[in-house]
Amino acid sequence: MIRIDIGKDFSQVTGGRRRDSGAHSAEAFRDDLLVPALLRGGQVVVDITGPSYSMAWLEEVFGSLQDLGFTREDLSVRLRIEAGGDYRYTAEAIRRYILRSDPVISDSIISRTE
Amino acid sequence: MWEDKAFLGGLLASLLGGALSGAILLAFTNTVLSRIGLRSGDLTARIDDLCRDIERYADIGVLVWSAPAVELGAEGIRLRSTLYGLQRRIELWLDLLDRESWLFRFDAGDDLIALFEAVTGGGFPEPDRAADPARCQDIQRRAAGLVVAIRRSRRNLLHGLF
Repeated sequence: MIRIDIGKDFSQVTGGRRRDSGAHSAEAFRDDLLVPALLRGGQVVVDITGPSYSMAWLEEVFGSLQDLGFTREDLSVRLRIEAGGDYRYTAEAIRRYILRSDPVISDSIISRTE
Repeated sequence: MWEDKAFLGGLLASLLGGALSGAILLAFTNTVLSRIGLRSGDLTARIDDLCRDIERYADIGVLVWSAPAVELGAEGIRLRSTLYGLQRRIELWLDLLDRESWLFRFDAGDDLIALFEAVTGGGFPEPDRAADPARCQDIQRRAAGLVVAIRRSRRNLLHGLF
């Protein structure tokens, strides 16, 4: 089992989606920490306690994993999100991004901003 | 004569005992009721604080999304930081209320996540983000719905007495 504590192993602050938007980007966390851990096989536990997140950052990290070749079934078995009760709704949003279920905001608004 | 004295003594003791028991019961009831009332008032104040935070979160979200990121400059950094903090505080408040009071049961998590998505989703942290008037409207609509959902999460006791 590999454990990634975002606050300790990455940063207490989070930045934009892509590396070119500055430090602490979602792309940097995903490609440097999360994806290598998933590629090693076994369970990956991500502790989200500590930092504050934009939903854009979370979506970029967890919502793009299926595009990178990981299946929904594989992720639902091997990727576990760990959080205290005070991150309950953040964790729930992450689970939705991972499984890509029930988008909570209309697609028209998302596509308009992209 | 002796029997009369014993009877009166017994009567007096019964009266004193009854009065004492009544006083203790009354004091206990008053304490319980005032504690419930105090906790109830405290809960109302906390819910008011949470709703104010949500309204402020929505207002600042609209400020951010009503202008392109490049136009906001340093002010944009301040506003985005405030939004990160408010988003965290809203989640902390909800967890605290849910855990500490059996008079508060929040079941509108979807609405909360949708508001978070509307404010800090999309291109929110990007330096080249464009303004999005439709999103501004969406933010205020979702915030209004969430405030009502939170106020509805407050349960009343004894037909609104507490």
